[in-house]
Amino acid sequence: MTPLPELIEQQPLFAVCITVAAYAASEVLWRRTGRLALLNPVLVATTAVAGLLLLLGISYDDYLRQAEPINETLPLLIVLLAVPLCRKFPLIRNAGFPMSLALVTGSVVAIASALALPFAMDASDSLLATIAPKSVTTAVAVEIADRLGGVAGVTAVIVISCGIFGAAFGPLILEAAGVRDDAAKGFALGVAASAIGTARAFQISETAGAFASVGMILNAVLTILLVPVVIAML
Amino acid sequence: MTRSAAIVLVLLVLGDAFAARFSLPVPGAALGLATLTLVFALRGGPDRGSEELFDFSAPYFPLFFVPAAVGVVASIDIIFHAWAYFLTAIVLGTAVTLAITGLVFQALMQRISDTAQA
Repeated sequence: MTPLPELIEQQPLFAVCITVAAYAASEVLWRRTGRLALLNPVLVATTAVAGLLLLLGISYDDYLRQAEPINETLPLLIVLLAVPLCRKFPLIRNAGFPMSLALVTGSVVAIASALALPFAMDASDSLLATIAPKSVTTAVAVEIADRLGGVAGVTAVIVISCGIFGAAFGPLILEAAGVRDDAAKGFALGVAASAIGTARAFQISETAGAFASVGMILNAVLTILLVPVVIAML
Repeated sequence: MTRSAAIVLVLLVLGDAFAARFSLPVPGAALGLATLTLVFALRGGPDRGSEELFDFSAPYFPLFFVPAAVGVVASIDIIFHAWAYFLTAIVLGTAVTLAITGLVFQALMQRISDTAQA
C-alpha cells in the first residue's frame, strides 16, 4: 500500500495547493508584521515552496507542470490592467510631461546601472546583452537578450530577481529617497521592477498600480529601442 | 463577469497567436491589453463585468509570480559565473533606478501643481 505522504504528493493539484497555501500564509505573516520588507509575500512564499520541493525531492520541472495554471493566469491579469488604466486615465493624462521625462531618465539609468560594472571590467558582449534589459518585463527582456546574443535563461532569472527585490525593498527605498507621492512611487516601481513591481504597487493604492502599469509598458517599449543602440555604442 | 473572462481569454489567445505569427518582440498579453484599453476608451470606460473581475483578482496579483520565482531559486546556479555583475545590477541598479525615477516624477509633478496654483 502506498504511504499517505506519497499519495498526497501524487495529487494533480499538489503544486497548486502548496503554492496558494504558502502565499496565503506569507501574506498573513507580512500583514501582521506591519508589511516588513524582508517578509514580502512573494519572497517568503517562493522560499517556502523551493524549500519544500528540495525537502520532498521534487524537481522544478515536475512542480511547474502542475503549477502551470497559476503561471498562465498572469497574462490574463496583465490584459485586465486595462481596467485601472481607464479608471485612472484623467490622472495619467495630467501627468504626461512628468511621466515622459521620468521614463526616459529611468530607462537610461536602468540600462546604464546594469552595464556600468561589466563594461568597466571589460565583460563579453553576450554578458552585456544578457544583463541590459534587466528592468523590463520577462517576456520582452528575454526577447531583447536573445536578439542581441545574450543568454535568455539568465536574463529571465535577473529580471525576476530585480522584480522581487524591487517589490520587497522598493517602497522602503522610495520612502528613504523622499518620494511621497503614490503616482511617483508606482511609476518608479513599474519602470525599475516591471510586473512584480506593478503587482506590489497595487498593494499601495490603485493610483500607484495604474502608474506602475504605465511605467512597465512604456519602459518595455523604450528599452526595446534603447538597448540595441547602447550596446552598439559600447 | 463570465462574459468578461471569456473576452479576456479570447484577446489573450488571439494576441499570443498574432505575436507568434509575426514574431513580434512583445507578448500576446501586451496586445490584449492594448486592444482592451482601446475598446474601453471607445465606449467611455470599462464594463461592469471587467471591473468586477479586476477588483476580484487584483489582491492576488503577486501570488501568480510565485511559480516563476521558484524557477529562479531552482536555477540560481546559472548566474554564479558572473554573480558580482548580476548582484550589483539587481540590488544597486534597481535601487538607483527606483529612487531617480520616483524623484524626477515627483519633482516635475510638484512644479506642475505649483504653476497651476500660481
